[in-house]
Amino acid sequence: MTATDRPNTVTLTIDGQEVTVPAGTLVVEAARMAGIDVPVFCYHPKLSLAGACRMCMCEIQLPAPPGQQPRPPAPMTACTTRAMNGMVVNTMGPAALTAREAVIEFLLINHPLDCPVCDAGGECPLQDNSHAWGPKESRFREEKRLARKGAMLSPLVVLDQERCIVCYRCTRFMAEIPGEAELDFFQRGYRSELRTIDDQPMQSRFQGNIIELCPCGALTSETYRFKARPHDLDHADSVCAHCPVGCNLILDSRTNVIARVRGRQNEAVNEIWLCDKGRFGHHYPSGEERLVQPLIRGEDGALRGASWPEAVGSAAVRLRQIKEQYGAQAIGVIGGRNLTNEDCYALSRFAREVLETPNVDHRIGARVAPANPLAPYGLNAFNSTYTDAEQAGAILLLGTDVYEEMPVFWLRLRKAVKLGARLIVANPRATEADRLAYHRLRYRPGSEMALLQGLLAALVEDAPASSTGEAAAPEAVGPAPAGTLARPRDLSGLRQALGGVTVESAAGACGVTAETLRAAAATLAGARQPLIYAGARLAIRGDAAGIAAALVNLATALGHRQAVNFFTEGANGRGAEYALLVPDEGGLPAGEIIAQAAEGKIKALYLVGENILTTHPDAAQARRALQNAELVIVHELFPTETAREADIVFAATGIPEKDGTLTNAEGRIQRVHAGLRADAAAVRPDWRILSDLAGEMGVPLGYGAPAEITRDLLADLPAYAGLAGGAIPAEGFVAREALPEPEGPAWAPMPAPEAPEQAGAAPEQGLILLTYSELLGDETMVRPTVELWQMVPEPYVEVNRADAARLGLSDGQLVELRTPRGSLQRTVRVSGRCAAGVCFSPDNIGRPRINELLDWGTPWTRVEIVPAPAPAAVPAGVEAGD
Amino acid sequence: MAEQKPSETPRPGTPGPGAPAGSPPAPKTGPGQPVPWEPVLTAAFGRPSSHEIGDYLSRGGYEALRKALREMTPADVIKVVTDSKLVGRGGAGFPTGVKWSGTARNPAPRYLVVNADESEPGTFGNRYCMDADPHMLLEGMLICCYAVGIEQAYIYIRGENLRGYERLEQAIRQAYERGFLGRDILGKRGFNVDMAVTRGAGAYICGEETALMESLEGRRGQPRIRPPFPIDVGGGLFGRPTVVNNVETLMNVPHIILRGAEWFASVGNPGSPGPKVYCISGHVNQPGIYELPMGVTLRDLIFKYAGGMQRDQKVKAVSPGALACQLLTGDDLDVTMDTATLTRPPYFNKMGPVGFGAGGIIVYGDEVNMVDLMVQISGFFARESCGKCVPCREGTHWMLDMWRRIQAGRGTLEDLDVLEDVATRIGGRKTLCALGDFAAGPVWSAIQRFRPEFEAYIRQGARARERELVAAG
Repeated sequence: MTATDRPNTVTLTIDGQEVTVPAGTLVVEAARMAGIDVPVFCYHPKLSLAGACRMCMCEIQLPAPPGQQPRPPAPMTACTTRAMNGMVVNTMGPAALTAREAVIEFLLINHPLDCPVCDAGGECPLQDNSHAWGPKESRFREEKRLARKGAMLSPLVVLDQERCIVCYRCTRFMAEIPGEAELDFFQRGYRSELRTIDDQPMQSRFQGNIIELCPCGALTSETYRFKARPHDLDHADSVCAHCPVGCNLILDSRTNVIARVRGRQNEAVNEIWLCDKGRFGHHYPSGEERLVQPLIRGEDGALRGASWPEAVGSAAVRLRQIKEQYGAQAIGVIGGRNLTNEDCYALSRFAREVLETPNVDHRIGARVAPANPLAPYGLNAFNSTYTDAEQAGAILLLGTDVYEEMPVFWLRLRKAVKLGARLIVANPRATEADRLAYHRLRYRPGSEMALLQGLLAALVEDAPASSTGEAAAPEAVGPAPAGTLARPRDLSGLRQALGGVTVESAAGACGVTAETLRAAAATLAGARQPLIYAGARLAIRGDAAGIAAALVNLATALGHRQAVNFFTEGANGRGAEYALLVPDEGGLPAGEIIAQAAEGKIKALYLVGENILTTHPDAAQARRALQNAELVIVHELFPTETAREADIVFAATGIPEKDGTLTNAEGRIQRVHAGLRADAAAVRPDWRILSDLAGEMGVPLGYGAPAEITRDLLADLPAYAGLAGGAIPAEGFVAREALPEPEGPAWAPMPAPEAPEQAGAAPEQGLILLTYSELLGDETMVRPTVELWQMVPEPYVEVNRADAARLGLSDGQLVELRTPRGSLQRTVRVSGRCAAGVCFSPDNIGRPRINELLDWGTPWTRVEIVPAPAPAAVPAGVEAGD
Repeated sequence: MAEQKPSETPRPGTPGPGAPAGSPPAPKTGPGQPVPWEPVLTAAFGRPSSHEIGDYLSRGGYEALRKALREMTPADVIKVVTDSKLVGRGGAGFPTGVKWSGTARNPAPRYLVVNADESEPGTFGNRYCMDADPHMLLEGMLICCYAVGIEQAYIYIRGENLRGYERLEQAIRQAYERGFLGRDILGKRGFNVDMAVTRGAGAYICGEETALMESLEGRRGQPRIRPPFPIDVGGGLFGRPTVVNNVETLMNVPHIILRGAEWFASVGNPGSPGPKVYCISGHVNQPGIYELPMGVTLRDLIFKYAGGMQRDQKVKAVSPGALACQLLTGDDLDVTMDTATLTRPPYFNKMGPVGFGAGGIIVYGDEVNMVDLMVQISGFFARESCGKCVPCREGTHWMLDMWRRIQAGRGTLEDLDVLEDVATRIGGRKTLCALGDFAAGPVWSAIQRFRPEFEAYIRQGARARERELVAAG
């Protein structure tokens, strides 16, 4: 095939082989397509071009200009030269080989050649390329340059400047991928040295990636240094257990301890990146506090160790007792978001077939029963794939802090913005996403309904009143994908659904100006393939159904109903949803289960991997629930606060110890393989505990291996029907439930937006407290990783400058947060991130947890902030875990 | 660079603003010169207020701009500049008209960047020209902006050149006051130009046009990958099509507009014509600036204009275009000093062109020890290598280390082979920018041309070491 047949390709000759590649392909990539490996150091397909190392030198003959003699071949870098028709590349020409040998000789003159004590030894591109292309001996007789060794760029990353070959992969990564240019080269020439800006420790949560990108052992991991040799490691392909993104990773273990975690390429999910929590937070399975046997509360009221048969037997007896005495309705089952699908499916069956209770839920704090608020509209909770973001012309983020909640997906959103997407960030608090935002909608906490209706009202305003039919495709913003839907021009039905809501009235209710609402609506309306991502906690709130209706209307008005997506929480929140760990008809959502347990209506709590004392949005209520329930059974890895209050504790295994599957936020089911062998005499996977217990209770689930459950759940659960019993492909399978198309009006009826509590209205009553989890909290899964633990910020409360001035608070001051529920101490951060009248404190940093202040009975908490009284007693310790 | 002989500032008697021009009477006739020759670029040297706009206007300043705006279209201007065969004076010798028309073809906004980062030892022409006649530069810039369709121009000046910076700032202020800058310049509707001066921070590499733009954009000064070239979208300043011209190049432009392309093309060597500001330094009796028709011979430069050699030394070696060029020897005195000659065989070899650079000629007499000289030359490039490409970053320092070891008497004859080979592994277009070639050319050429001297030095050092060892027992 010649290039003329396909105008978007070029044909060149590489080492005598004719290769046809897309126009614009770099010679180094064209060679790879032809199976020819050109050595590189600075080149990386995910980064901008540097052309710095000169390792990829090839003899390249450019095509002759018309009517002229061809120029002789010349050494050129394959990583910066784009393929051209008629180009002749000789990757092994004598000039190329000499140039490569020269580069290796140059690189090694100042390299310490300390491979025997270098972590990279054995998997080092510099080492490999030196062997393959370098001279046998160096002619260098001078003194080597001395430079910084063992320099900590952060608690996580160690620099050996002497090993550095200055390829700029690390600095390019930091500047280009997360956009956090915390590193740069200082000085010049052979004195060039990598330093952090102002020599401050790096703060980025993506810095671990530079260790993997480093081609020469200059950047090593503090947690892995001197721990192992690559050839001594066992490898298991797994998926990260820390958040809903579902990043693919490799667990490298030695002597049954995870030595390190590396990113595994999956272009559809994480490309090749990991966040630092995922990369470094792998020490918890071997943590010292790990439970190593079941516990039973004895006659004396204290927990004591027990054998597995005893614990399972006791649980069976007591569960049966509760069921007989109070009925199955008196049992509440909570858990699933941090389990594998296999565990979830076993738990789901256990709850329904063995306990026979409808009170099952995986969504901590949920106030509403439906797990997918979009189901009434024939939509899944998540209707796009991560990669779809790259095609979007506009992206609305509603009530979510992607940077904290799904950091590696944030990298995808950054990429989308680079590709032309306009980001509309709607959040009560400024987030990292604001940095790239095209519009920032800082709405009052709780006023999502008003905000969405304001956007809808702006779209209605914009539409001609009486025209019908399909609109012409709008002017494209961003890359143009195929198959953009035409937009419904007739918005009169929507006008009706809005009732009397106008942009102005909505603006008044949500606190975003009408002008901004109109501008954001115009951006959405003018964009191809817009996408909407809504925060996970919006789907569990009391007004979830209304928000869902408004979101569907918005998506419909934009001509792309599939645009709506709800995020989820936990490593397998979506999997738990798909495994039907959701309330049955008449069943209670997780929040209500605890509320009712506190009132003594629920008699037994079965908690699988959930530390409700720190996560339920009312700690006092959770405490009462644990006290008032007659039976509390907990599956846990650690003696958490909740586990310590339980009657029976099963010592469970974590995801790195499990075989099975996980389903990420976008609904992609992916395989996980155990990277550690768990001692079955000590700890057991949740599915096995449940299977044993079910057998003991006389309703056997009949599972002996996770593969059996995988087979069953794929066959049984409607979400996975699309897989049709086939094997899960390597890149995972995006599972979607086929939901019936709704009948009824094209526009969903929406409740009138209520003006939420006016944040600024009554400052004397305290500030509205906003809370959600940051990526790095002082959690049990983080604590055993000392280096990450050091990076957890000091417990803080974020206050607006105006409020700080009014309350006489200064940045860094220790304050007391008070509500009728209780009080606790935090350090003040004064900034403009929260609007006046609102404060923010993460709910996973600091003990006691912020949920000590919350009251399940009121959706919004007002908190009084006063300077802390005299040096307080040491804040509650951190021995406890989540 | 104070310790560096070749980079010393001109000695007393050197022409400069405020000082009487030290140039000898300009020749009335010369090779290839149809008209009586008189300096144009340095004509104002010696006038006490030559840098003031009033003085410039009294000399007919800004008339070329007026003519261009009133009588010529932008395309006419580009045609005249192209026809004049003006090539860049910064060293690369690229045809200026081609650069302008190439940029003008690409979409606006476009930028003009003046490379005033003259920082190579042995070059000082731009400095004195800007000091003496900043408005001539501004006028050339304005004509360029008119021709190419540019509304924003930047001058990137060597940071150490504080006086030049101050003069340019003053000149720009005066130009704004008199309506030569700003909106609707000289009443020409829609002809708007703003100018700003930015000072470098002391890096030689920032004289390389792409590194200069990186620096101007606020980043670490390192060369960019080409293509895209500065004239292209994506390759220029802030990613926009950009003309990057040397100071002297632009100062020629008003004269080309006023006197015509034929005049310019008729001056000096027809291959690369025009007036040229030669900077000559080293062991000559009258180092300084000599504006002469391009293509004067090295012999004439040294003996006719620069007053011959100090203490009647023989010419041992010459850096024809400051340190970056390959060394010439005393046998090359009849070469004509112009870009065309010094970039073609026999002045083109496996390491590329000998090169003419920006016309900074350093003459070394036979009192110079070549090893000392090479320590200086290699030292300069080792210090100034930006460090982006491996061969230049590591190789320049390796060469310096070897020269130092040889200088210290601990060299071996093999070192010369290694040096020669290392030079070929740095030079010959193996690096992103030309600095690698600059660093390698002098070393390679020195070993080609002065090998016996190096060998003798090394043997002498070895004997001295032996004596030391014997003495030490």
